[in-house]
Amino acid sequence: MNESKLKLNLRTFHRRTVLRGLGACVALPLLDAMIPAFGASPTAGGSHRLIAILTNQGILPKNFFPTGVGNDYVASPYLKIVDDFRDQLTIFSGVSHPQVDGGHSAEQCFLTAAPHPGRGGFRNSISVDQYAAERIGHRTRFPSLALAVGTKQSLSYTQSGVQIPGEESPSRLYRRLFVQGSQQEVEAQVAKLRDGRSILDSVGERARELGRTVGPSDRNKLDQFYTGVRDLEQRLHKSEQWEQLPKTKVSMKSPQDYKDPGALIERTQVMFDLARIAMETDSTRLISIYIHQNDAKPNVDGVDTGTHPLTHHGNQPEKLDQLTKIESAQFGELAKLLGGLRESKTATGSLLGETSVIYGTSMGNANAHTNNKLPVLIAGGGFRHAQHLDLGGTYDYPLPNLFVSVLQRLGIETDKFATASGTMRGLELMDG
Amino acid sequence: MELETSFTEWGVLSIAYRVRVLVSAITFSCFLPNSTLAGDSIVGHSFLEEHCVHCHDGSESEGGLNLSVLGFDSSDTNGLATWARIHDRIVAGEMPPADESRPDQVALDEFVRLSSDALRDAWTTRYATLGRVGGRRLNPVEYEHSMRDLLASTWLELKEMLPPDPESYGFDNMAEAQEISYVQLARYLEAAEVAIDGAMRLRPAPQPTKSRMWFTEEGRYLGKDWKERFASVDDRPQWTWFYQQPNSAQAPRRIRNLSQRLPGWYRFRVHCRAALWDKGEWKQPEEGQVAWINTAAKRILGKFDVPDAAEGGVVEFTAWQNENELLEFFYATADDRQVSLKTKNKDPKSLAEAHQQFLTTYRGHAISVDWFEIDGPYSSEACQPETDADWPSESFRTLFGDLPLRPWTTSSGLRQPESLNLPDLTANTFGLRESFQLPPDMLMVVSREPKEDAEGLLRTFMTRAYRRPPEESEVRRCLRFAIESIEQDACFQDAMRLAYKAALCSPDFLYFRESPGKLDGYAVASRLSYLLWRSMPDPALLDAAQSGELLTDKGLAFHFNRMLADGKSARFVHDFTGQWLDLRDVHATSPDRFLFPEYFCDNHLVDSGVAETEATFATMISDNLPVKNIVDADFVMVNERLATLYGMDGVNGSKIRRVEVPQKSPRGGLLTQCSVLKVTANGLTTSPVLRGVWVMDRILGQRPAAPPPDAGAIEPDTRGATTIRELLARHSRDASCANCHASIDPPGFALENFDVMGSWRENYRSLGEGERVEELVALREVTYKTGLPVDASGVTEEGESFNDFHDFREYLVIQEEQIARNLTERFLTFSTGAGVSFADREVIESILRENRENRFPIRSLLESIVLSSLFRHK
Repeated sequence: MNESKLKLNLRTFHRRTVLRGLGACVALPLLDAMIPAFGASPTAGGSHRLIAILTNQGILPKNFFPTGVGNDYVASPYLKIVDDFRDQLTIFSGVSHPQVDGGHSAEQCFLTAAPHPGRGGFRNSISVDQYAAERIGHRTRFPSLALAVGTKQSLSYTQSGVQIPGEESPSRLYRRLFVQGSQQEVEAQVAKLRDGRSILDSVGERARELGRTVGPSDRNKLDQFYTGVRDLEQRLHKSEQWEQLPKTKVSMKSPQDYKDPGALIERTQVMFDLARIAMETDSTRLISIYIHQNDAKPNVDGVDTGTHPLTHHGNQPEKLDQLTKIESAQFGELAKLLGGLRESKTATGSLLGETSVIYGTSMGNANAHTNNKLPVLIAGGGFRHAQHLDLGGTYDYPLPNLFVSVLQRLGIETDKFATASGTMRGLELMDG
Repeated sequence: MELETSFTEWGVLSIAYRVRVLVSAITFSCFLPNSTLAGDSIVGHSFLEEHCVHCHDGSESEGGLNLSVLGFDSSDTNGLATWARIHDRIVAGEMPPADESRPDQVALDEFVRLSSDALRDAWTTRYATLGRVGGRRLNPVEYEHSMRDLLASTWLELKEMLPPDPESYGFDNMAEAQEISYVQLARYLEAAEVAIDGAMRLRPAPQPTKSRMWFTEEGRYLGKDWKERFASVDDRPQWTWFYQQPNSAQAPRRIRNLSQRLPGWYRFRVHCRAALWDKGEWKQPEEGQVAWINTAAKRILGKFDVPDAAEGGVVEFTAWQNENELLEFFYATADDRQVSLKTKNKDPKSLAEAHQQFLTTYRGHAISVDWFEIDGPYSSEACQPETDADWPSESFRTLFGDLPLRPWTTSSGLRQPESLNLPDLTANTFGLRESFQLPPDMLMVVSREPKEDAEGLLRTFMTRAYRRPPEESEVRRCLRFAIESIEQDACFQDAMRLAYKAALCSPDFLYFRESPGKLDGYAVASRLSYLLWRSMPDPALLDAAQSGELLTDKGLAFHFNRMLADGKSARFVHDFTGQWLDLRDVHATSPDRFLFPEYFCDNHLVDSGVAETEATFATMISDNLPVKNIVDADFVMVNERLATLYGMDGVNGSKIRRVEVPQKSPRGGLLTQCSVLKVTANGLTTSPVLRGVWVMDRILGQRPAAPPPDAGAIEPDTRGATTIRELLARHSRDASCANCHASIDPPGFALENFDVMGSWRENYRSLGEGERVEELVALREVTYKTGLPVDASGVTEEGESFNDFHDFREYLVIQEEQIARNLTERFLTFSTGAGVSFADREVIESILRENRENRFPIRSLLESIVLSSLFRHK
């Protein structure tokens, strides 16, 4: 044993920690979303899952919405791309989140439905995936994954409305999901986690102490601080327990990270692959994916401008044409994801049958920055599909109802979420 | 009804329909036993029953106001704001609306008096028990500045490591909107470590070296083979010309600091030259050429004008550079579009011929770099070898004082130093930053009396970090981490890192410490320094806090002026205007390349626009100019690029300077500035509605109500057959729309003469119908056409007609008091971290009275806020 190794072990010995055979490298930044919620031990339960996907620059309505309603709808150009999954799809028209407005600001509310983002006094609320993670997240190594394409933000928000940072690096996600760290890495990491816990512990006590001496409004904040400290400690503790179980081995090779800002479709593809494999290996059952399209030109044939500038199309035909090409490529990736889930067999059928895939956007018309009449669909999850539900009237039908339906599908007994008025009208479960 | 009876204990409930609101009151009523009494006089008042309830009743009532569920409770600030709005609209005569019967004036006055008293009482009670401002935490910007100042590490980039705080009342430092959960706490642990590790960076004193890189005609480094190719460096072709942005693979686009891979201050010198290539010969440039040196993560180290003398010139500047940080040479005034050679044959000979052919037809600006020199690292920014301070650097001394550094050996009996956690500077500027681990430098900080040193260092550190002397128990708590590690044979620096981290994650550091009632000197010091410097107090301010000087008007005013004169007040200007005027969003859209080819990728213009607005606001404060300057000033702060945009002559170079505006120019004041006109447009079209709402909200402080859900939106259209005004006229034909648009549209119409970047236009541009335009931009014929003429006339809400912005500006100047009120309210909001309540209005109005005679000088307004009771009370 060389000297540095010896020193390292001495150190860990001092800390009275026996860490042989522990799992992987958990760097602190990943505490955010990837550390199991505290709760019961991993046990079987319902095995339903959710993947919720947002593309942030609208979806051209005329290319999305089908004509005709019910089972006999005629597929639009985009729906043709996923028409192979017609029996697993429900398309919604005339739906949106009540009072969620503000153009681009509405992105942050896609999974939370908190009204009036961007206005004075706005506070976000819990997202549907985190709501579920608090209830069923303990069953898997990662209670949920907040993934991102082209951004480090995510769609996922905690109970107090704090955004969970998004994971945008495929290689790092792969490492966290499937790669065991070296023993040395693990030891250093666990020592660091313990230092973190010990600091948190003492800081939490300090918040308590301080809370006794300040006014009521500050005490309120310090209580929140203290709760946050305890939450984090418990999450750290739980993560150490998970570390003792080996990670699943997968045949997929570690994916590459794309440096090219225009690799929108490539990034989407690899994130979708990893999301599917995370589901297959039961590493998690709840995933949000925030597809952020920047000003860079995506690598799609016939496209020479970024998605965002193209959405300010002013109805110029060339721009509409290019935007259609980008969005078609995105639907192509969705088709691959659905195909992969369908091919993956489970005890009760296919993974797609157990996985609700929500795909949509937060602007009904990006050219005018409107937030009503949102293009949204749901695939899989064991619902009675093959239909186009036109739910709109003078006002849109509340989209949060879809989240209630999905939460119930996940085995969570609730009839409320955000501004929902019930379950989604016309979206029924399959028998059995 | 059961609920009703259970709530009557509070003595507030007489009507069943108030139950719903009171549910939310329970949590706070323990602090505020009498909180709801004040509202008794107005909830269910006969005036409301008679004149209001018939429209404002039920879930889909007019304007979203439902009087049947609106209770009155001082713990419900949203409810109080609604009551204030009811009060205001009745006072303004807007409600009841004109088509309803007018209320009896006596009854109206009585109700107004009652509601005003009730509101004032409610807020005053609230202030006395809770304070005006809730528990407030450092936001990411404040956190970053605090760490930079605390650790003397101006280069630390931490704000992207922390989740952003939500915006409220127009700013992101509002106590009410701030939440905290395990997500932030995990990030605080990480950010504290990155900051401390970045500041300590143990290393032996480096020898500054100077290294120079030459470039060849291929745009590459002059590699090792230069001696084979040229007899000496001087024999090579001196200038390598770039007509466009050098691409990523070419030098000088990418420059590596090859001499030293150490973080520190460096002096950069560039020998470069700008010229105009005119179809075969070099001429003097017609426009100033500008270049930037930035890092791959877009941190800008220097911006400069490229000299245009035939022999070129040397530009120099100093900046901090981190290890292995890749530099980019950015030709800021270049057009990014590639001008391509037209040739079918791609063999070298054909390409060379085509290139020669191309050069005889090409006309355009170009720059060239002869050499690039990097000299450093130095420990201080001046980069002067004679005066440079000793290593370790100042940042190291903030943590370890004068303790020496020695190489670590096993014989020390101490454990090996731990690796350092440093920010990943390759991260892009969006979203959250990560950190990476650097193997330990095998150096250690040596202390003979580690426990005593630990305590002394920690005490000094904590006093600055906590902005007040730390409590003894708190020092012990943090010290324990150091002592335990020292006892377990950790290196001194590793022991201290834990203790510092424990302090930096404490609520004492992360939160403002303010108790209800009058603030103590330290709390005033923090408010003042977070207002003007966005950071912690300096030692002089802490002294003034301790001595009680800050509790006097004279002392507070002295430090207000002292701190405003300090360079760090630029942070206030940047952060305040960034949010007030939306300058943070200046890159949210980019001008359409077909409609506005002249703005294509014009980063220099966007950058100059923001600099102009900040410099203008800074001047208004330093010269204490009357508030009317916001809409009408006789000067502008411009550089050459902006002057060109504004059609002004005689301004050369990229430096922003003060220029008097010509008579009859629409320029002068914020509204006709490039930055403001850009953030209120979308890059493609301008919308009078968006600009109108913006002016009403940001300048006049009269934000129009949000459109009803079925209002519809106007789609931008560039086909040129109709103007936005025609579309809008159709939209607002409806009487219910017309009501709001009467106030929104006029400022928007008046600004129609300004395009998406703020250039004056007489006609719109179109991509469909219209007259062809004979013009070349970047050697290409433009594709846009001359569209319909702009009509910038309108009628103000008060019925005065105007022809264009010139007329409208006079109308705005008349409203200077309202402009002053808006600005004063924003100063109050930003400086205290809470919105303006009904009870705060008295203070605002008295400040306006005091300053009316001098026509509301802007610094005086800010100073009045700082000296007001609101600023000095929680």
